[in-house]
Formats: sequence, structure tokens, C-alpha cells
Amino acid sequence: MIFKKATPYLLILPILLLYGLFIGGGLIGIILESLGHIPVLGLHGFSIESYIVVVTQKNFIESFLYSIYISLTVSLIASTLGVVIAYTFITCKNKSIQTLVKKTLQLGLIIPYIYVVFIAMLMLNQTGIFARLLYNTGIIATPNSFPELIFDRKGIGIIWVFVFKGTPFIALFVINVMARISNTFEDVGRTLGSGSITLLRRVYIPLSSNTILWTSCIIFAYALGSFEVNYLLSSISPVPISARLYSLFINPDIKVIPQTMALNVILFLLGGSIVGIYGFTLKQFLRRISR
Amino acid sequence: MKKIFLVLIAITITLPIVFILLLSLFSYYRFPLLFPKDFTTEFWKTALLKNPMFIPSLLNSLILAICNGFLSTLVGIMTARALVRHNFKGKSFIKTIYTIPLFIPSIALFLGVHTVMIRLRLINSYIGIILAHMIISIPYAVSIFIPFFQGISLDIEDAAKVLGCRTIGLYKRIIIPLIVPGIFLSFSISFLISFTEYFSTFIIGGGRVVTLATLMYPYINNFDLGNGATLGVIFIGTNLLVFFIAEYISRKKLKTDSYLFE
Repeated sequence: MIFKKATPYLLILPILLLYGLFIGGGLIGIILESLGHIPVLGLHGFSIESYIVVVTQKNFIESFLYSIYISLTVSLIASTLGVVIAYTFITCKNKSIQTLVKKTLQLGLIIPYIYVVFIAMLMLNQTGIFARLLYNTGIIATPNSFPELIFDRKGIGIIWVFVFKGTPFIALFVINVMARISNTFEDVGRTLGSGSITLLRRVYIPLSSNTILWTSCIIFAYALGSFEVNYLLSSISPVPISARLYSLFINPDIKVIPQTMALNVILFLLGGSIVGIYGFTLKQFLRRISR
Repeated sequence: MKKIFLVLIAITITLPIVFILLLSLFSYYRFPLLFPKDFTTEFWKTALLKNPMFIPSLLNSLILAICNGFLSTLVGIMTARALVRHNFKGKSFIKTIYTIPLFIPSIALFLGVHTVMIRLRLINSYIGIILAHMIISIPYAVSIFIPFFQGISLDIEDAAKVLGCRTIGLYKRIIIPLIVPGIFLSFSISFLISFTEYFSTFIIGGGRVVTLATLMYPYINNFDLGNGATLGVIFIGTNLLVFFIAEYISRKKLKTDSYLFE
């Protein structure tokens, strides 16, 4: 009988250990180091000095806002595109096109982010494939008249990579849910005279809103905290917050460690909260448009 | 209209991959050429034969991804089972936190994990990397299995118990067969996450454990067209092959059309 009672606790033991040890333990670890308590390096005592240094550093706010701008743009474009693709997919009754689109979306899902960076360079460069296309069709005269799309201040390259990866992710998950929505809803809606947009708003979005919400939040969080894309494609200024954190992390000067960890704690907690706020706002928005 | 839109989407995703394939086979690509010229097998020879890191990195990628696939699926099943079938203290807590790793900015999450790994001396080890990959795979695994367990009626389980089925028998004969599609899905997604993950592999592997994804980094950083493209084709090809095999098995066993997002 005791064993019976212990069953659920045994079942959740692995996840608790893993999360507790590495996420909880990690957070405690970085907080301690950010306060300047690193006994291995002979640093003792607690002070919030490193936080003050990090926050008052030049361009800190700018970096943070820049990252939020990138994440927000990415998640809004990817979610909209993803939902539109999913809805078009469900309502397009052509089997062979559906198979083709599903396969290519899956293809988009299996390419790693780091490789999409390579693709972005290949496509968006001033001598890249888009520029070549425009040049060969006579729309631009020299490669220099093609706009700078990577390593640019507006972060177009970074946004392009996240949208390229995020859209298939959202579309596939939403298709998965929308495919299960019974045709009866659509038939009833059509009989009552609703058009495609109304059907999408009133039937499909409300029934798949949970999936839209969490996939969108995942993309938002990923764009905010991913290292490779932000680091490889960012301009010199402004620098995304994760690229800034990584530059601090690889700084060989051990005096910088508390500052690195302070920025890490800020990104961990504040970043997490921003994702929460984004999710909450999106939830309200989805509820509103389905009215 | 709808068909054109969908075909356009398909082309947008496929086009870069076609170019990558061409760039791995042709060496001359000056502006304003649209398609590369001068056929060569040099890039493929370099990648497959001359690069001493290639075979180890491919094996590392596969080993890590398969281990992560199995372990994350197992933890996913256990957690989902507890959440759906049992009542226990802290249930709502687990329900709120199991997805949390996906919503914390990954660089901050993994630098935290990194500090713990150093203390546990798991840096540069397979175990460390697998544990790190599990952290970001388990949320998906749990969300996959929750609906599967909700779909198993309590009556079936009770009937089995009344007929004398023990816990092990219950899992073997009733539960596992019913959640097999979920196992395939969860394994593939976890496999994919581990296979494509760069940052955590890199910092916890400390450069010692090289995978296909980390092997690509210098080529991408230097924008080495030919060699970068070739590694990309190999990467995508390996992944497609694995998924093709998984789909083949699942079609034979489950008789379902498409197991990855049915």
C-alpha cells in the first residue's frame, strides 16, 4: 500500500531532479556568482555592485530593447504566417499539395538554426542569391544597390532566420490541431453564411488558440535568448542582449565573471517575465479577435 | 489562390536547399552568376575522407540524439502518467513548471546549467550533454503524452486489473500499445532537438565532444561556401534518412499515414 502511494512521487522524481538540480541549481549558482561569491577563485562576500555596473553600462537598455524588438517582430510574423499556412492547408482539399507542403514544412523543421544562418548569408548577402536574381532581371544595376540585409541595424537577417525556422514549427503544430477540428463546424458555419475569414476567426483560431499561444511563446523566447543566430548575424551596434552576454562570457578576465553572471540573472528572470507578458497579451488578443 | 500560396511556401523553403546542393557540387560562383559552374567532387572528398573529425562527429551526433530520444521519452511517459492518473502533493506545481525550460532565454538557461555541470564534473562528457538536451526535450515529450494518457479510459485499466493484470502486465499489454504513436513522435522530436542543438552541446561539450552541428560552426562563421554547403547537405541528408527509417517502421507497425504530426 505504501508503494502505491509512493508511485506518483517515483514517477515525477526524474523530472524534479533534473529541473531542480540544473535549472534551480543553475539559477542559484549564477545568483551567487553574480553577487561576487566565487570561492574557487578566492572571491568572497556579497555585493550588488556587478548589477549596478551591468545596468549602467552604455547601451544596456538599447541592447535589451533591440532584442525585444527582434523577438516581437519574429513571433508576430511567424505566428501570423504559421496560422495562415495552417488554415490554407486545412481548407485546401488538394491531397498532393497537402503532402508536398507538409513535407517541406518538416524539412524546414529539421534544419538547425546555425545552418539557417548560413542560408541567410547565402540568400540575403549583397552578392547573394536574391541580389543576383534582381541583377539578372535588371532591377538593380550593381550589388551595392541591393539593401544591406545581414549584419544590419534593423536586424533583418536575424529576423529572417527566426521566421524561416519558426513558421514551419508553428504551422505544423497548428495544422495538427486544426486537422482534428470536425468538418461539421465548418459546414454549420458555411450554412449560416460565414465567409473564410469569419470561420478562421470564430472557429479555427479559438479551437487552436492554446497551441498558437505556446508555440508563439516558444519562438519569442528562442529569439530572445538564442546565442548562435544573434551572435553570428548581429551588427556592431546595437548588439542583441544574448550576443552581449556571450561576449562577456568568453572574456578571459576573471573580474568580469560577476558582471557576466549578473547579466545572466537579469536575462534569466526578466527574459522569462517578458515571455510571460507576451504570452498573456497574446492570449487576450486571441480571445478578442475570436469574438 | 490557396494552392498558389501553399506552393510558394513550399518553394521558399526548398529553394535554399537546392542551392546548397548545387554549391556542394560546383566550385565557381562569382557574382552575378545565378547558378554555380565547374563540377567538382573536391568538397565531398574533403568532408567525407579528409576531415578526421567527420566520422566521430557524425557518430557523436547520433549517439547523443538516440540517448536523448530514449531518455526524454521515458521521463515524458512517467511525468505525463503521474499528471493524468495520480493525485499527489505538488501536482499543480509540476503542471506549471514542466514547460518552463522552453520559456527561459536559452543562453541564460544553459550558462546556469553550465555552472552546475562544472561542479558535478560533467563538463566535456556525454552524460552532461545528454542531460542538457533532456532539459529542452522533456517539455515536448510530456505535452505529447498527456493527451495519450487522457485518451486511455480508466475502465480498460480496471478491467485488466480485475482480470489479474499486474502493473508490469498492464504497461506491457495495455498502456504501451496504446501510446506507441506518441512514443514515435516523442522520440523523433527529442532526437531532432538533440541533433540540431548547437549552443548547449558546444559549451557543455567544451569543444571536446564535437557533433555535426558544432563541426559546422567554423565553416559558417567564415562563410566557406563549398565546404559549408557540403556539411549542410550531409546534415540534412542524415536527418532525412533517420526520419525516413522511423516513418517506414511506424507505417509498418502502426499502419498510420504520417507519424510526424499526423
